[in-house]
Amino acid sequence: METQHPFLQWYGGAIGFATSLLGCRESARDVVQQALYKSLSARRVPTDVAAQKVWFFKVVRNLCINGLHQEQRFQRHVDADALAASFVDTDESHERSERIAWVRQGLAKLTPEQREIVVLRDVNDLSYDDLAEVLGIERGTVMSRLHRARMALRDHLIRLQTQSGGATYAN
Amino acid sequence: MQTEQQPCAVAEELSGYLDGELSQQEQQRVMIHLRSCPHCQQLLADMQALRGDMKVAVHVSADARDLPKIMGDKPARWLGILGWSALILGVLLVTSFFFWELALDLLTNSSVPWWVRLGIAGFYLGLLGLFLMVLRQRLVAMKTDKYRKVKL
Ligand SMILES: [Zn+2]
Repeated sequence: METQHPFLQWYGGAIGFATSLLGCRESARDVVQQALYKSLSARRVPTDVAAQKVWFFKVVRNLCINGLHQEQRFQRHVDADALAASFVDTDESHERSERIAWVRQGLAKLTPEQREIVVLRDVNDLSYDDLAEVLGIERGTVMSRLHRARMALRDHLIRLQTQSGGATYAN
Repeated sequence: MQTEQQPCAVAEELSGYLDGELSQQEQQRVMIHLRSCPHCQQLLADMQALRGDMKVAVHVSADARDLPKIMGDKPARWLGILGWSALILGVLLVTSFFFWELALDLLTNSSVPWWVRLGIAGFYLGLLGLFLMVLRQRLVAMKTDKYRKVKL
């Protein structure tokens, strides 16, 4: 029987992460494919699962940043609408669309720095130690940066909500 | 009532609390503060809801189109290697047999003048040389192509 590639369990979250950096689902898929190939061929892949996860997201992040550097648009804001649209799955149900659409638009309005930390934490469940390792920052910086990103996202959502005349975000 | 301009003392610890990343002491402190601060209670509830929404908004369900491509990669590669080796072995055997027969014929058959035999030998050797040259070019091209793929 064929054994499943151990990195596949992070596939969906990694695509989401790469999409949030690149603003494009197709490039995100390419990047994650490359990271998977790299995990097959690289000589120094850690053996324990926790370290593998950190390694994998680090590789995905580096590939994203390299890609953005090649296009010379790191730090430049991606088009918010295009980014929000790139998260949409084709087979998505329309039930929870409005709230989810707001989250995507709010996310698109964050800085890349805020976007990556909040996606790595809230979507991919990386611990603060893992976040420090993947992002290459001090562990002490993680909590404040993450909190600021969450507050910024919340502000964007409240703004979007009042614009559309809806109720408060938390209900 | 607390506003955004007057943040509570626990502000960012609230995120640490939500993520279960605080020391027991810090955790206690936040818990005590939460009891008396509706503002932070609301903030915590918002962040919690946000986390659930983020998962739905960003996480991509693994596409059925992608998975076979990834998982099928290894066996496909091995089958490819196997196929190519068999093909190359076959071609090598057939061509060496052909050239062996040809050489034997050219050396022993005295009914044809020697210069005709030399011409035939030159013709086939030239053909072989050209084939090897093209093969070499292809191999070099493949190698650089592979390198480019790895570097990306
Ligand atoms: Zn408070």
